[in-house]
Amino acid sequence: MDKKKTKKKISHNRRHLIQALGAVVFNGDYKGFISGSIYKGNLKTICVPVLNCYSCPGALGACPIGSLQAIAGSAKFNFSFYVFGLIALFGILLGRFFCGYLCPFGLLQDLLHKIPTPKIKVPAKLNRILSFGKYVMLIGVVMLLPLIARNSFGMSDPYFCKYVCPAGTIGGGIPLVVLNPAMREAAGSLFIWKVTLAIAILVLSIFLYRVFCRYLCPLGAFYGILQPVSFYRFKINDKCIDCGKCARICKMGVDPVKTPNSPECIRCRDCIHKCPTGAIESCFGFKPSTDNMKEL
Amino acid sequence: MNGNRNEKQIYEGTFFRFFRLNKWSLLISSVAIAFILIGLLRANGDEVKTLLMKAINICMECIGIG
Repeated sequence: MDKKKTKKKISHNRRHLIQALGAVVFNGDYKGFISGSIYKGNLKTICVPVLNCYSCPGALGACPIGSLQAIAGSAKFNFSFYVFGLIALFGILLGRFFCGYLCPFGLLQDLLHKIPTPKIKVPAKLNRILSFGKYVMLIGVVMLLPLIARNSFGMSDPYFCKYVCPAGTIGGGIPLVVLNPAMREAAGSLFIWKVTLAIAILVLSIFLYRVFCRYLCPLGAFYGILQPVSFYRFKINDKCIDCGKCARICKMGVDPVKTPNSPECIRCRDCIHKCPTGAIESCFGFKPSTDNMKEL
Repeated sequence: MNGNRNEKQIYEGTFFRFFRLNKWSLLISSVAIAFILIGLLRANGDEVKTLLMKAINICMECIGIG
């Protein structure tokens, strides 16, 4: 194995290790997995920067998307300044770095994609159209629907969590239904729908890299919108020889030379390790010293 | 003396360069921090209490039961 491949493998392993560590830390209330209940402490007032259901038996923090909908759907408030501000702060600091390095559901999809099967490569045009799905989820389902579809008490359901979110089903629904007999009895057609959808997404992610993150994740969409202006950036320096290796290695369908800070990039850094001349650099806030940088 | 002036110029250059390069990032992060503070203070902290009440009870919709 040559030096470049070894370096890439070490980087991959290190990323997966960080992702696993993130999953363990965000779900650190381990006794919940034995008792079939959830953590009820004050840490739940803080949102984690990833899609991690607050009804997962081990969850220590709140899911930002669940929280946004829960407050918008309450009788007292239509919009959560606190949760929106927190997500915006996470996004402006590191953009979609959280998707690549910390999201537990991203890790699950990454591992499933490692199963050796033929992989699907979505044509660029179709990929672009499908990727709008996550913005529809964010603006339509997460932000607008709770304001429009309210009951007579002025409250609404968290529609994304209720009908779509596979992270909630995998992290919260299935463990609670398995561990808690009362939950098991209450599970009905909605639970069957959610499990079916979650299985479909997981099976698809074996063949298509991060299918949920690319086309459905509202949190990824939020971070993606902020990514071009976030403090953490990728830049192309004047060593670029336009060999196209970075675009070919990118599983998210991004061409880093054209758009180093694309909303679709999850900052996995595969392109940085693949580049033969070291033309792609990452930085926080400042440009690296080299001139002739391309930023957007 | 001259060295000191150069150091000061570099320092100021770096300082202002950071603001110039990150003006949008700084503006958005300021708005985000303001939103967090508004959320914390709004209705005597009721927004955060609402969040806590939702998060410490099992969300039946989230897990596909409710």
